[in-house]
Amino acid sequence: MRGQLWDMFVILLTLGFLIFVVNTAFTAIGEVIKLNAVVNQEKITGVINVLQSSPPVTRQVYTLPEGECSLVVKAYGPLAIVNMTTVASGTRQSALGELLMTGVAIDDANVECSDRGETRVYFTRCANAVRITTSELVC
Amino acid sequence: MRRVTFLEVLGYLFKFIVVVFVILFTVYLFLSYEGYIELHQKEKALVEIKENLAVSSLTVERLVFSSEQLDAVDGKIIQPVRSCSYGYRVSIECVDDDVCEKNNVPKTKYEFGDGTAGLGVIKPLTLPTLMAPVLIESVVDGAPARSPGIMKITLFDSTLTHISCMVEKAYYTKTTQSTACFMSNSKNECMHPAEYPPAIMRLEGALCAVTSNPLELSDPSFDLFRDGSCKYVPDAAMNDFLYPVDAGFKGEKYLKAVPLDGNRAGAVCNPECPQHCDDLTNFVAPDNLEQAAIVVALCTDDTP
Repeated sequence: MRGQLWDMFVILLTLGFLIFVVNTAFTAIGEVIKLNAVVNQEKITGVINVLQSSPPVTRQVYTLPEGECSLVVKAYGPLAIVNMTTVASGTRQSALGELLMTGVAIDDANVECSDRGETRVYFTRCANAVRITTSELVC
Repeated sequence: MRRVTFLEVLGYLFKFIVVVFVILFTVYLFLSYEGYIELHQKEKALVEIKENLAVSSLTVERLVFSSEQLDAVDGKIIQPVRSCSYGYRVSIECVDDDVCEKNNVPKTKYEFGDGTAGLGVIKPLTLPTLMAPVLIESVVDGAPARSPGIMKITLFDSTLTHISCMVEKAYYTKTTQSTACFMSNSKNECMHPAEYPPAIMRLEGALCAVTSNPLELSDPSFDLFRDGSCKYVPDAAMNDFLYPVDAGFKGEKYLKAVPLDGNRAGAVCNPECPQHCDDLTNFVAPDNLEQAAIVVALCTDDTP
């Protein structure tokens, strides 16, 4: 009887350990992806590119991660560039992407992430422009 | 008090070893884990291009292409939706030739986009494609008629598209763009095999890679759209660039696109600019220079 209890204890302990490890690993992976500059830049570039082909008043909200990061969107004539910078585990990472040039004007934007929580960025298609704001916008 | 037998001790020992092994193995898996994020950037770019083409100036409504507009771009190096990073070619074809004929659609196949054939010089690295059903609108007896068609978009990610994007970025942002050399040997030097020394030049609103054969362009049967390797870049002014061949360029590992002050660059770029970036530093455009005066030059350098 004591032997069976001991076996049960060992199995539970091992299972608990495995759950702890797997959970920690997945949380860590999630955090790494959240703060990955390339992933964020690609997603934001995708949002703006799709909005360029969307009907007016279409809106997409993108949540920037909590921590040290910044989003810069800048138009140089017809060419607009998305620059996402993040700092993960003390390492600064920057990713630059170009938007499609369709004749739709893209707002310049410079949004800093917050240490106290996630930052919401609103991408709104208004008439012939994509507006980028940190609060809801009515066209 | 019960005495523990030798077999029981062995059993406990075995269980102990198994548990320790499982824990150590888990720790090993945990520590040796390497994540790999696959972004499928080209597939994403294809979808975004398709979505924007669907509402571009070539359409009368979403995914309904005007045969008149298609006629205007057929056989031309043009990007109705401009992509800096990628080149693409679009073909729109009638699904049923009889229906198209009945609806007075002038052609059964339209093709436009970047010129990609004759790629002896710069080969595309990958060719992902996307197909989508579309409609082609034409006019029959004064009334619009629609014929089913299929649109195929082929994406090009090549050395030429990388260089053309560098040129566009240098032109519009007025900052020097740099990249590790593409056409290089195993030592990653800015060289190109001597049998294919190409030139990068502007032709008909596009940036083209031209082979070493100068007769190619003067040949009347040579068609830039069909035979050339070109990327649509309508605005950015650029000096022609002869890609360095083996001799004399060893050690230079970076290709740069430098925005020059066009008013002064003539002094050094006559007719071509020097191939080493150091010789261009005195002619770099200031930030406040008007866009029309910018001329981009490609050059090689040994520092990023």
